[in-house]
Amino acid sequence: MKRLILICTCIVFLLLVGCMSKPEATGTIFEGYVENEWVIDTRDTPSVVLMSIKDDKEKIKILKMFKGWNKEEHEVPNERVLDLDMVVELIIDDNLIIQVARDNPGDLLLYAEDGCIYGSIYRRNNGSVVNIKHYYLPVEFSRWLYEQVGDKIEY
Amino acid sequence: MKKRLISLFITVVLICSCLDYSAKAAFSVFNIYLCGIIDSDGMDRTGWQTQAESWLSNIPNSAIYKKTAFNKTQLATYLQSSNMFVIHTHGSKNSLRAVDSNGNITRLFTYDILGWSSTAMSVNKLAFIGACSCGSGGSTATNIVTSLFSRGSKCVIGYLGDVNTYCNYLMIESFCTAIGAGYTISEALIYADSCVLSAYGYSGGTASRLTMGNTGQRLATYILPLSSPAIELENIEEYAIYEQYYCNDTDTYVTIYNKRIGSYNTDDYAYVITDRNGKMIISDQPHRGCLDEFKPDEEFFNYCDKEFSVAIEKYGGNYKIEEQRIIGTKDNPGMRYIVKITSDDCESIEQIDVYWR
Repeated sequence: MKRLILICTCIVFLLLVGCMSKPEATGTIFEGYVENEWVIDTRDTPSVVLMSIKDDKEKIKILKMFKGWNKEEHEVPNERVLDLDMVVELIIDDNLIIQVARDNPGDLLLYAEDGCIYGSIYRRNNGSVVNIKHYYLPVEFSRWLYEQVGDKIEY
Repeated sequence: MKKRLISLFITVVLICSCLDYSAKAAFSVFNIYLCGIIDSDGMDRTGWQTQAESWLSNIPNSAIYKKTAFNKTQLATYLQSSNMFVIHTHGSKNSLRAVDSNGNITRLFTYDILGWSSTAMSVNKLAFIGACSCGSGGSTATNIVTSLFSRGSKCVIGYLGDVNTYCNYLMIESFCTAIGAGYTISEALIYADSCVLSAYGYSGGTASRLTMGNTGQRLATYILPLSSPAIELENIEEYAIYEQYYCNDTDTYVTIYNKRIGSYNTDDYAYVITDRNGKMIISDQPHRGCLDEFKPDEEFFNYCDKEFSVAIEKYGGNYKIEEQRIIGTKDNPGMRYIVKITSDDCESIEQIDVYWR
């Protein structure tokens, strides 16, 4: 009997751990994409894959950064669009590709008043870029992205 | 007899070489490459080429090539074969973006440029690199500007930091206009600075430049005056200094004034560009809003405060007004409230605009 209780407890514990560490993307721009393999690549032709993200823990980290962030409130007005080249991007899938500027506290043009940093989101159709729009994205995301691949790129 | 023949031969050779030189000088083409990319963000980075071409055609023997789709190999060729080169694209400290007609992106890196021979850019008298951060780190750093200059260009201009696309567009267009009008490079930069300030009231990063080489060059042989007279600012006592900075490459000081109504700032601005002796070179009256004729009364302030009280309710939490600014035009004035909102565990800055009826 004791053994049965122990086994049940273990199963419940494992199930709880499993549920807790599952990425929760509801209400974020990542909704419906957490099962994909995410890729960081260079935005060149041809592009170079720098890193792939399969680990749920990493995805949860990114989802937390975007909690409460929405496109509507963070679009960059036209007069604040920059001629900035962002060399790397995070590809969730062809419908959601995210680029962000590198965090640089000295450059005021990069930042919105709430501390978000310049970036853009777009999608691809048969390999072609469509509908690129500029947004101010969470600055933690910029720090995370360049921490992952900063040493692998010319910038 | 032998001596005579030799001296005759030498004379003939000398005359022929002189004739060849003057023929080359008379007919040598001045190649101008005007490059801009088409990006899917919908921003215009090529429209300036039309006005630039029109003015730069004043340069004798000019052959102007407008490019809107190119890859990095073509970009390198344009740079090396140009006498004057101008580009509007995306950039960073170490790279310039090229986009071909299929939308493919390739980049020209500093290491590509440093791989060229030290004289690869020797025919180039002027290269204006209109892209973010290509001069980042200044003249002692490795960046796009220093790399191009090290390959023999006579003058290279690039930005130290990031630039707004609109401001950069106008900077490039005005600069080319002034060069075509016969201004020196330095004068053309001052003229372009004034055009950007007139249009936007701020430089958008375009006044922060790394310029290397001879800015005293005049590429067109005659001068056509452009309309940008230095005029005295009226009612300057109503203006408070908003921003002041020094432009290293033109040795000028820029002062931007913000018009005030009572204790409130407005969106109206004016600017003055002076030389190091304080002599005014260019100035301009306010453009945005033109609130000069607007006299706000108690009714206006009460209305705005009342509407603000309604608007702030939806945010909840505590708030503190950080700044109030009169915005809009004399026909459609309003008040902007910059508010810091604090709730439970977070703090945010919000902007609330209220227009008068």
